[in-house]
Amino acid sequence: MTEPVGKLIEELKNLGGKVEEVRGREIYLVASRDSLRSLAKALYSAGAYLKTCAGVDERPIQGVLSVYYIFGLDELGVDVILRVPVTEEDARVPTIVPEVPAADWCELEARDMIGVEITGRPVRRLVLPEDWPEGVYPLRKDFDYSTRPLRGFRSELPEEVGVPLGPYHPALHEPEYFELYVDGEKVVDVVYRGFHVHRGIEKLAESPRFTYKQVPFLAERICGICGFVHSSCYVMAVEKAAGIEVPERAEFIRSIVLEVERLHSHLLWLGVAAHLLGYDAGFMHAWRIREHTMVLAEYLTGSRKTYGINIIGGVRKDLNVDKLDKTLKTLATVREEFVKLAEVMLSVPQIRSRASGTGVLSRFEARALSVVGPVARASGLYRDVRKDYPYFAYREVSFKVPLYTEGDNLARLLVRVEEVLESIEIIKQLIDKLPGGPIAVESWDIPPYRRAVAAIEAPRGEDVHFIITGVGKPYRWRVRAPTYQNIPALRAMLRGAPLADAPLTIASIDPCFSCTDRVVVYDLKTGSRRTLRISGGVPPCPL
Amino acid sequence: MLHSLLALVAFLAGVTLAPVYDGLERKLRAAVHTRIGPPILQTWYDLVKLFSKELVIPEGGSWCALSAVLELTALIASVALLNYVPLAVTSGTVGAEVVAFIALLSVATALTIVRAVAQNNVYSVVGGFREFTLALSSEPFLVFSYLALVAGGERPVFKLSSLLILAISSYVLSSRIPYDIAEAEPELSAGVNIELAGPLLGVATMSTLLRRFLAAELTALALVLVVGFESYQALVLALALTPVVWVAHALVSILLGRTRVDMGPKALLLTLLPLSVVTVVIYGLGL
Repeated sequence: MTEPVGKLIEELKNLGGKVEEVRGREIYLVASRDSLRSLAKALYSAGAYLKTCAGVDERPIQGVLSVYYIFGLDELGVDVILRVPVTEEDARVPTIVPEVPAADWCELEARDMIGVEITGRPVRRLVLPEDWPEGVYPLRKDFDYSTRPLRGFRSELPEEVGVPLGPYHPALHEPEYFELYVDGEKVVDVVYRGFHVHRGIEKLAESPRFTYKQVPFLAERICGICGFVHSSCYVMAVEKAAGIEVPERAEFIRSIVLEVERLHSHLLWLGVAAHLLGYDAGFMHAWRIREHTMVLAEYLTGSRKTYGINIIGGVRKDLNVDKLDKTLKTLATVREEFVKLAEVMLSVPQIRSRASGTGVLSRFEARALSVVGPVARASGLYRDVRKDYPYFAYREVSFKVPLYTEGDNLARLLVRVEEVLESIEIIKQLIDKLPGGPIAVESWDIPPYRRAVAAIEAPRGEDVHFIITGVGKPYRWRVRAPTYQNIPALRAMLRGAPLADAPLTIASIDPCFSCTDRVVVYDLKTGSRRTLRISGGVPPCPL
Repeated sequence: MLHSLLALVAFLAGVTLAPVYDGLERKLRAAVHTRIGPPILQTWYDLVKLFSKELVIPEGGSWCALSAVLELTALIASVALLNYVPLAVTSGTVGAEVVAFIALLSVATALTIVRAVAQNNVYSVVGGFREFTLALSSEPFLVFSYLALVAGGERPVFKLSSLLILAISSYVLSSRIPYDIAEAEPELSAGVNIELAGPLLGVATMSTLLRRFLAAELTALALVLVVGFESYQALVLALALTPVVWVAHALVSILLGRTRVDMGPKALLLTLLPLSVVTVVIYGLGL
């Protein structure tokens, strides 16, 4: 433990925190609800950001319901996890939102899913639908996965919408719902309602049909674009909890595939951004170059989609070494064509003028909301899990983390453009240094009730998986996708911006929405209300 | 007599060829995108399909349908009248056909706005407002340059300057990127057309195509008039040049992105207003 970390731990102890366990870079403290806010404030003042919080039903093992708050001290490369246990009879935890605004959603989610009341703040349902019965908490252990509670089918939409085409509609693959309050063409406020397609994946992983080995297949189906990120994050969490040493070659293979996914995702996003700005030539060419990245995945793994690769303790299949030359040639093609595309795209006057100075997220707001990924880096936060918490083979390569301070749509675009070039260099370095040896451990054992936090830098930002091991399967598996962390920032980004820039600004966080997101616009002058469709290829996926 | 016959042929060709030129544009766009693209007659196939569907009157009722049909009628009449402009130039008088052409074009724009507002949808209303803003920042310059070319007499520099203004403002008339903000699919979900379907969407599509035809023919005609051609020669040449101008318009739209309602009109005013002042000065100098 380094000196600054030691000092911080002492301070936290003085504020009422008790160290439960120190495992590698993870420090677990137990806190009473009376000391929670002062501990959260101290951590936040020390430079930490909130990665997420998670409600856990620990009644079968400790007789309590717990809320875990996972703080990341990225400058020190350490996670501090506060656990606040409460009894079922008095399941109340004070809010930490005044100290840590980023806790807004995860507090509400813990309230929805395990029934811990959050005091000192307005509450509403976040994940559960409005017609879900009171007092039924899906992530409690006495709630069976196959239970289907009777619901009243209450509409969540105000009646004045008439026939609502969304958020539930056959044409909408994955609905999200924004209410934009506008004055003329200026957005004055934004309300978000999501989670319409919450699939209960965390509960599903606890169900009898799943074992440790099967969860990677479930994890990679969280996202259609960065499925490998989620399966990697899950296996990393399990491996950390169980102390499994993964062979070096497997770590290299995982890192290579992660970067191929980043290339694919960023090229896809760049095309979407061009389309939203009316520059369809950019859209078509970005997606044409993206096709090469799918060929890359096929050369390396035998499959255009990066599914079915991860297993606990390594990877299922070795890289196709016969095709490494082809891989390098394809990488060179991607780089050459991408550089040309980026130059042309950034010289289109409307792209520059409309992306510049719009959707601004200040550094202060970015830190308060603990945003991650390109959104954070475009607002001046040097935050990249690959550098802050080096994992897999990232400690073996050198690369630059693009950083901009403007915080606007253009800055987020430029971060992604530079990251494409960095990813290409990372893949080349990894292939060059690819070690020999096995690709997976021969056997492993996972002791029950061990905890671990795993984080991976996904294309959209930091993906976090928190795990408590169980018998034959996870006892609790918490997934926090990067979009979950970045959506709350949209309110700050959209307020005061022109309505015309709203689709681009929403897309600029690279959200995991379906192609047909719904936006509702209120005109403050006329009081009228209608829905707005963001068409065209915002990538599919979310939780 | 010959000119009238040619004008009739030109009118019929204009109405029937506009969708074909659009098919050409789609092919060109596809080529730049490295796609194959649809057949050249695809726009015609689309129109036939739309007109074969049942008539759906959108929320907002008959005002929307009526204004859509009247708008198309005004544009068809504009296409017909434009072919008589070379005659007016030859005679050196601003006749009824010249004034009627301007009036019909303005009426068509006004009807687009009525159609948008009548749809009772906030996005069509926003689209209508955008159409109005664009019209305000470009149509006065279109009218000015058009009249200048028709009645400008023997002033080559003045005509060249007017041609430049007309080329820019007629491009705006074509509702292409960057000035397609009234429709702006990703922002307004088709804006002024959001509630239209079937034959009414066909009518609105045909109106857009005729606007593009007018924009191309106007520029082509201005070009041949500046060069010095007159009467039916000017008409034949303008018709031959129309697809070339259409393709040039298409290329510009492929290479640019969409503007914003607070940017595009401002940029237009900042360009067209000084150009117009310079043109007037040139006229005063007798150049």
